Amino acid sequence: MIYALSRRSFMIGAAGAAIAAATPFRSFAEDYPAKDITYLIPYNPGGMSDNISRILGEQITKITGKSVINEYKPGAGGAIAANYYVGLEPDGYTLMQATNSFYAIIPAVTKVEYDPVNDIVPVVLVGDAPMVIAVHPSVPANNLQELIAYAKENPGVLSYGTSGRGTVAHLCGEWLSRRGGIEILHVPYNGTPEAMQACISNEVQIMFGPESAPQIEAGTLKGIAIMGDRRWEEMPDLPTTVESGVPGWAPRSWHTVSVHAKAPDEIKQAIGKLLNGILQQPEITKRISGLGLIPGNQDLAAVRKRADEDAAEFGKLIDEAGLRAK
Amino acid sequence: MLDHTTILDGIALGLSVAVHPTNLLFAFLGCLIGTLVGVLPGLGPTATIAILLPITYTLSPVTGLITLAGIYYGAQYGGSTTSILLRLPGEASSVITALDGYGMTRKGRGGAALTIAAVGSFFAGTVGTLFIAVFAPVLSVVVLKFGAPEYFMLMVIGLVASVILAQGSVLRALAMIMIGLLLGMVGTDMNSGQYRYTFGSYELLQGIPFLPLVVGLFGIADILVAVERYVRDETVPTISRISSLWPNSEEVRKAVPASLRGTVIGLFLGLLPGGGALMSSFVAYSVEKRFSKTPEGFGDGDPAGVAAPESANNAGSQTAFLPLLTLGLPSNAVMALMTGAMLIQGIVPGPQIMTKQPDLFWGLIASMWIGNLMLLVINLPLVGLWVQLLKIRYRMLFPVIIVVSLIGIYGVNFSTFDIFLTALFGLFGYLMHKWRCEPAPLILAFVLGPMMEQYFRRALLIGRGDLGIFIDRPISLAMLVILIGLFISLAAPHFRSFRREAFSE
Repeated sequence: MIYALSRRSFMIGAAGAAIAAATPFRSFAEDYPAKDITYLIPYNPGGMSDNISRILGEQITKITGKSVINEYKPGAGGAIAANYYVGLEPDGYTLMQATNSFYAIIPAVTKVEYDPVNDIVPVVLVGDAPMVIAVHPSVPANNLQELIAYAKENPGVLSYGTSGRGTVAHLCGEWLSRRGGIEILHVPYNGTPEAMQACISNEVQIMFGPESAPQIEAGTLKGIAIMGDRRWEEMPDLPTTVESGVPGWAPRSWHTVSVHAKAPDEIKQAIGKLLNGILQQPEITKRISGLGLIPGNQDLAAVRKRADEDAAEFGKLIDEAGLRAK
Repeated sequence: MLDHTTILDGIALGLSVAVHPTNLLFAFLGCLIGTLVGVLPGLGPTATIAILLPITYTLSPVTGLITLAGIYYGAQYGGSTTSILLRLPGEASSVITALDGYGMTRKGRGGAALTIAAVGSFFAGTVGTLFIAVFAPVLSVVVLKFGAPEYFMLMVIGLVASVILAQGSVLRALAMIMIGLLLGMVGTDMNSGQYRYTFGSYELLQGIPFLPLVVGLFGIADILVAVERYVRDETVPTISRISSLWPNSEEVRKAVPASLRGTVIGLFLGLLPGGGALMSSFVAYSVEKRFSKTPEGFGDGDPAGVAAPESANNAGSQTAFLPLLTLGLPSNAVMALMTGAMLIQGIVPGPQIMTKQPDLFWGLIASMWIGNLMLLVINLPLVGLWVQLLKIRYRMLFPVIIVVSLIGIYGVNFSTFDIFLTALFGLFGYLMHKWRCEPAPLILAFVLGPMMEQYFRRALLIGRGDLGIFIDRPISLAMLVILIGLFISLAAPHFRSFRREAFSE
């Protein structure tokens, strides 16, 4: 009896395996996640990446019943985490909270041990950080054209503050000075809050990034434009740089979730589907907006294309500015 | 500026928020948890808050922030406890407390030192809170008057004033300062992006982390020295029996004026971004040493050497909230974590927080004071408990200290590299002890060196290369005059003899 039962179950098992082998897509996609997920955060707890991961992780657990365990690997602007990530098993059970910098900027300005094309792949677009151009209220310019004109008439007067060399904000400044044909001085600070304080006190005059929004609202800074071609709901009156007469691509900063590029395709699709499902919930969209992001929603192919486009455009800018790591 | 009725209304509003039973409970819990975790060697406020952050997500924003503020104060105070009893500072601000706090412990006055630290901190915290409540709008304007040249001048003054910190040989102190500056150089150069002394290591790209350096040089080195003595002489290292938990009248007489001066210094230097707490405790300590009739007793358990830096760093940790409360800008790692917590609650910290969310603004200010009161309530009874720790046999205690310290250090960056670094600095600290070199000037130079470099270069960058920026700006010029005055006073014969006195042990 016992023998027969085990023989029958063996047969069922073998049949199951045969079906599974014939239709790998179904089995992988439906099984995912079959075990708990590790979520790698390349920065310290409490930051934007951590906040996003907590929202997404909570929902993954709610939907799949599997635990999501956060692991933090801060340092070297994210390079330590990315280097560490590529050494892990590419089975799709370790996610990395990433930004477009991991594809377009970090590998260009830092010497890294990962390949942004063959090692990691973005699976969703969590949201764009609105890159707002803001100036100190004493600058006599109310829009981008006036700012460019003022900078041309007064060379060597304007400077901009950033949280460091090779950051998105720094590249925004490089982009504006090249596209506008103006000379603005880059002043790096120890973190965005310090740079912001310097701009409020007119030590520097220009800031790039989402952090200016509450200052613009309070009148301590003046909004000029938002980088790119998408307006931001929170500041609907702020024109885009495209509308302001500087057409084409502009530096941007967006958050994504990355997985190993070498993970099975079905698993990548399954993760993308799972996460996009979460990001489409109105309540989650609201919470992502609450973090100061413009929520997005894109499938695997579209996000990959976005990352590739950024890699090419940022790459040009990085070379022109002489920022590439030797 | 706000008129008096607005401030009184605000304080009344704040107190009504803060004494709400839920908030009171969470302020208490925050302080208690903060103290308990902070007392673990190596775990400072930043790591403690990072670990406990998720707890606050389920609370209302005000309650969440009150809890975090409680954890912050608690962990900071807990760090002072280990500093005093075990010579293990958990945070920059308690490095100085270790000098005389541990000195008092060795003399059997550890309980008194803890009491002085608790009462001194409470006093400074109370003054600091009132100061913020009344002067917040004015101070936020003052903060904005300080640019790169002013901060640079302030740091130079601090460094020069702190030369007096050196005990024993001036030559050794200068050597320590040089090593501190060199260690501070490690990392990526901010302006050019060049790597300095990183030896191809990713972990060093952001420089040498602070905690491994401090725990290595102070805690681990001290254990190595004690263990060596044990092995060589076969005498069990013991700390003399704790005689009384309360300071005696002579200690009170020394501590009270020191605490007052420390508070005033902390109020203003706490506004410095980044290094405020460390600077204020160093400067407060130097000032005490200068004012003291018995400067030779410093470093060996002078109560003024505990009261002054403890009051200064606590007053400073109140005023450090100012940029966050008035401009929405976090001035240190703990504040940055708190802004992160606000964001996930849907609050965007900004300059309008005071007008848009008065309950949050005033509630937080009122709970700062409540938090300080709770710390006193929690810690005075605990003094008796903490000193019991010293009764544990040393050979049982020291492995525990090492393990817990390393866990604490790992918890900050989740990096095993930091643990190796701690071991390395422990060994170095042991050698320093052999060569009779003091670690305090090294730490000061390590923290201030890179900041001075950054501010100096930034000032030149903004001035488009013109050194005149330091004399064109009135505040910077005034500080330059003070600096020259300091140099003259150091060189003047009268002060020279004074200095000889100060440097002799």
